[in-house]
Amino acid sequence: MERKRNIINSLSLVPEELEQFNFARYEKYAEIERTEARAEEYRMEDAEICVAAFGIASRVSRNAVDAAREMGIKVGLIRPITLWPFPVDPFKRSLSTVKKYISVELNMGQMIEDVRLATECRRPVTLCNRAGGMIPTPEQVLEAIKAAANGGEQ
Amino acid sequence: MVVFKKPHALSDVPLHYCPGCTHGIVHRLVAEVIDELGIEGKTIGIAPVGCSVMAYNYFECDMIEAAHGRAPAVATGVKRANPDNIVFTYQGDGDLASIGTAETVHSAARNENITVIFINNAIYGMTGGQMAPTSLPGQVTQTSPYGRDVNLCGYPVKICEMLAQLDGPEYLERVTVNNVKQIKNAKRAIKKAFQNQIDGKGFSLIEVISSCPTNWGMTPQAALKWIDEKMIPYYPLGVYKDRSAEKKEDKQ
Ligand SMILES: Cc1ncc(C[n+]2csc(CCOP(=O)(O)OP(=O)(O)O)c2C)c(N)n1
Ligand code: SF4
Repeated sequence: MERKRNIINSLSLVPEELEQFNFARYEKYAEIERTEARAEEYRMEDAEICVAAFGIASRVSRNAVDAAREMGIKVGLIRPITLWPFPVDPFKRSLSTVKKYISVELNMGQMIEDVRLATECRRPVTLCNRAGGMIPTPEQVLEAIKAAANGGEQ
Repeated sequence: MVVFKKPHALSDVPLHYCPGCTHGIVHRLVAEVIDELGIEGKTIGIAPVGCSVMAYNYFECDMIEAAHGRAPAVATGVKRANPDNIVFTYQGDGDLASIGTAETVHSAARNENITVIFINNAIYGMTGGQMAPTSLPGQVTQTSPYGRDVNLCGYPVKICEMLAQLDGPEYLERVTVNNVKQIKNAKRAIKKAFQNQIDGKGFSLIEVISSCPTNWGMTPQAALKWIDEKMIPYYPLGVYKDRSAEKKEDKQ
């Protein structure tokens, strides 16, 4: 064949080459983590309790946060908009005021591990969840917030 | 006078196949056919996952490595996007008859205008000799140490017989490469399978009964004998479908 042939593949069997490829990929992932993480912070200014929730769970949690605030509980919400890269920064910053975290999820607890990693396990993190397509009510989340405020469940 | 030389469509690199493995023979036949049909430069090969994954280093043409079993799907896309190119897949039995069964059946049913070279060695070679859907009843493999028990594992999948039930495919033939006569016959079949594509006839699959001396635990010679004694009685050689020939007969 006159021209150089094209080979399209994703297989790299030479360790020296594959290691360089891995390094290059991880540089790219690190850049994504630096530039693409997004989250919404809601009533977090002076929050001592932080509810972490995304998607449907976050909408439910927002009502619960408002209800708890009316009762005088200092609670806020961090709503990750990207789950990867996980928005570590808002969690790191929140450590200056927050004493307890509640991960509200529609599963058996998946993001709770990311919250623990983001806060480097420096505060207790509890789970408030439903599963199988069931959705927690604002009341259920409010109960979890009240329990945290009363020093319960820990 | 040159009596014997490497086909042009075969790269000048050492093959990694085990001594006595018939993958090398089939590579050579495909390369000779590419040379003879003058389709080098416009042929695109799709490599499988399996021992022949590195076929992309061996065929001197453009190559794409597909995910396990997905070669006919990739070939479909390549051929439909570039109908002037000649597109072939080269797949093992673990690839084509197990994880890729759906792609195999549906590309045949759609009569995609591609050429499929199917290496049936009755075993998963690359991963160390596990039972394949094509392993024979009673065959000892890493995952059937007491022999394939059909009550537990079911019966082998006969790809040519199975696809012959479909109205779609143009050409299905089973060959082997365990002696000179059979190698010549296999080349004729492979050439026809490429010619069919050039003529726009549609899906051609050549099943090549092959040896895997390493994982069969045999010498290369014993493996070639085992093909005659065990494989061919279960997988009879021959043409299973030839639509153009059928049409000719109808007219007469
Ligand atoms: C999605 C996926 N599943 C499983 C594997 C592991 N794997 C690699 S090769 C192989 C079997 C290949 O056997 P066959 O197609 O018979 O080819 P041979 O090696 O005998 O030539 C398997 C299961 C893989 N690479 N990718
Ligand atoms: S393991 Fe079997 S199929 Fe693979 S190269 Fe060796 S002999 Fe050939």
